Amino acid sequence: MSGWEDPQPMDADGPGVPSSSERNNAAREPAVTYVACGASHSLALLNSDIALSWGRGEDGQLGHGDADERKEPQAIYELLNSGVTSVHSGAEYSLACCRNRREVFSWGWGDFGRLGHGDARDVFIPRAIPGLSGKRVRDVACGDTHTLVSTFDAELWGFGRNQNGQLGLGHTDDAFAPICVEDLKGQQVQSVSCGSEHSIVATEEGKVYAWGWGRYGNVGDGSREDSSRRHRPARVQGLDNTRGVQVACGWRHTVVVDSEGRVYSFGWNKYGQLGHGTTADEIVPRLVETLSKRRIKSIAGGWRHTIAGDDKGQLWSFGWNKFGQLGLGKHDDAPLPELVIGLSGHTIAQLACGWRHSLAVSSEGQVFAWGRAGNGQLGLGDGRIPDQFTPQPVPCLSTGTIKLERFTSPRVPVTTYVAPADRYAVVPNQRQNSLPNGFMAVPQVVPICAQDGSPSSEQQQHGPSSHPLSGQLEQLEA
Amino acid sequence: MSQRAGSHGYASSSNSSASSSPVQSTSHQAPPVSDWHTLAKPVPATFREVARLQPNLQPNSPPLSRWNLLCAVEFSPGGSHLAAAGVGKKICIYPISSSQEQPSTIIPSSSNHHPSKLSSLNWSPNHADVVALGDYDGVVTQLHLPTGHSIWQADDHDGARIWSVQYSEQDPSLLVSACEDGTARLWSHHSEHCLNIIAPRSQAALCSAVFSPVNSHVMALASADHNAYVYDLRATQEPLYTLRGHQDSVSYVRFLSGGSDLITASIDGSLAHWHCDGLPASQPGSEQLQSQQSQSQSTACSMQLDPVRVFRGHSNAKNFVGLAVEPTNALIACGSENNEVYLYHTAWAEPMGHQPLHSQPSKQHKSSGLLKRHTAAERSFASAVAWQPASNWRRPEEQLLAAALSDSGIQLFRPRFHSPN
Repeated sequence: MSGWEDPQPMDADGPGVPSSSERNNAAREPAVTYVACGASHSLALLNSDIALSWGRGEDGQLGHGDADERKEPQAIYELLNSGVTSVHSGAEYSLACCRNRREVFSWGWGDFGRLGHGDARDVFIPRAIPGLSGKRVRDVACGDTHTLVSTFDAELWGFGRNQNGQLGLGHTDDAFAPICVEDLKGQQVQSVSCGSEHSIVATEEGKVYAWGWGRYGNVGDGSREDSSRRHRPARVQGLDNTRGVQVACGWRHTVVVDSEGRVYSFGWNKYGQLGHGTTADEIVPRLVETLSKRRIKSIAGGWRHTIAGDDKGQLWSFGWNKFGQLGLGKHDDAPLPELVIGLSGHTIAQLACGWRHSLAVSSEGQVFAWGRAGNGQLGLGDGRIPDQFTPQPVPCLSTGTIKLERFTSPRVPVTTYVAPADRYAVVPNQRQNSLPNGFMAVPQVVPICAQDGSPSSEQQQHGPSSHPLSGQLEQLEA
Repeated sequence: MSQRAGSHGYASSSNSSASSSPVQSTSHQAPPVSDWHTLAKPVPATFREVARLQPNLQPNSPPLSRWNLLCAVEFSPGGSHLAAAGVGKKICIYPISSSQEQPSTIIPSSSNHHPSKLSSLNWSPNHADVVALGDYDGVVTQLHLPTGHSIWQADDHDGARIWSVQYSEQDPSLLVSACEDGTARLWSHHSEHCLNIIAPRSQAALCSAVFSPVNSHVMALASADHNAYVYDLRATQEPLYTLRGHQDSVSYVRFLSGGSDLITASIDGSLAHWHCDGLPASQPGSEQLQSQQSQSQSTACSMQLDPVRVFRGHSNAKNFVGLAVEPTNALIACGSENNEVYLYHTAWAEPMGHQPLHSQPSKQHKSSGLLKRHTAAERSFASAVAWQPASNWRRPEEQLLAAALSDSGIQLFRPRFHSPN
């Protein structure tokens, strides 16, 4: 669910992701180059190879080894010095691509195999996906419960839930490790995106294919009926005269940007997320007229909203806006694209949309966040922060003020796994929720007291698990 | 005035008479229910399993989740269906046949997908096929099950987890959500606009909120500040009663059918029975309301109560383990962190009996290794319990109890009562 702009052409071998501005390159000043949004969490990448995460953490999606929320960006210890080149979010899980080292890491909720490790276990510390090791990964797309990875070798790999054929394999068996999408083999995919249960790609030839769940018309084949036809990639209708270059998915809607910078949208439109000024679903791609005078270069699909970036680096947002996730300074839904005035003066290089929030990075590396703040997903810090209706700079990530040592000083995770019984259906205690960032105490069972206050014999404690990273700590400090 | 343990059994509300409580039949020679409060020791109870509810639609379909932790298990008002919802974001509906005798396996007749993890579910008392849902994203949903259409959704708890949703039996157009943000919100069935917000001063998380079964103006709340509260919705600045005595967060609160007695559960490992003298026993007329209101307010702005009785035997130090009160006999079922379900009665502090619940790993899981546990010590617990509504059974042997284990499915039991000797 993220969009980006490549300001410089990609080398076919992908030697490394170019940084977002030459100035940053020359000065090597730390700056954010990449952001991603999940359902209630966020990821960012500092060009000094530091992956950060914040927001909701109860499914392991932050990768810090515990199930706690973070209200401010925290570096993911396991990925320090791993050569991360991009970060990606599914609803409650995360991926990081290390293009040069040819590894992809995943962590978070593991059900249905969406993490690609060969099982369905949740992962709290990023783990490399064996099935993608050595591959020249070009791009990653995450939905709610499935993941697609495109390579520079004209392959598309899918894993995770497949009950609606969203992996495009021609059947509906879930895949717990990456499986190649045979129907697209040989076609070089240049853009890929996943919605809740559907998928879409644009190839380098400009052909657009979609598949999976499509009952809102979101696979763009003119029908609201799902069938086994949708278990394989099929050309999206009505785009034959255009070359699709970028695709993006929301929960049940889909957006395509063509080589001329025109935007087409289809699927669920209850909140105006298609940008046509209506709330009627569209079952085939329809041109977003309001943006036809602009050249759109980047696109991101949120849960029920969409944001497009034009060639001047301005953002246009439309759809659900109840929490201010459109950044328009109000919280009425917008069925037509509106300019995000709060970002005037900034050229947006990359943007991402989550379920109820949005993030953007300017070409100077300034990071903005807006929308729901209740789970810490905006990264604006402690305290009860209200929803933000206009883009807010994320203080600790703004160029010029980034203190690297804050992110790199060793904060070794204390736990590497939290059992479901210790993070779901847990009765809240009086002191609210999260403990101080980074150091979730190993889940403790409160001693049971007898009626007269004397402790009973029933007292259980879980001991801390031995931490496998402790050896690396010394290496870092050396 | 508080009542000390042992002075009498469950409160002498109108439902305690022998004529309205079916007498346990002679087949097990257990003493009649009307005599139970005279016995010093609990009547022993055992459980007979009558059905297992499979988590999946088809027995051989891929595992939904190795731990679709079921947080809510609820019978429909007529008792013909059971809804189960949990962390796996799915609502499964099971048909419950009227004569569930032979041990059998039941598969869901339908299921609905929800975007967020579900903590609670409650059937509408008067609209067939409509349920209210509370989820981990703080959203209250009214869902029409057959179409999967969401009648309305209210996302006003700012992303804080909702722990319970409940309709009022007296006025089924009202429902209440209890949230980790320390508020209970009152909703109308008709639209997603909040009618009222009840926020105890402590601002601690609320774990449960229920309406009185006899009075739609009276509501009880369970709080993480170790108290339960009873509020009059027309004057929410101060609670009518503060139920103080638990040593840790109160996770559930339930009324007994008379409307004057409550049962609470807490992660201090106990349940408690409370009696509120001044609570109206029936829906009064407006003049009576006003005089009662001023009466209760003049006696104490907020009356603090001690429990009538404290129940122990199960283990509960961390999780929501489920609490269900079977109103006609004041039988109380709750789950436990030792994977068992416990049965209590208001007459005795010790359990009448307890029953281990069994995991149900499927053959598929075992062979593929997908269910490998992370460590041998990964624990599970009984996570939800529910009684089939009393209208379904003519004789006490037909009482049906549903109990869910956190990492697998649901079992249905019938309790049996035995002679104490």
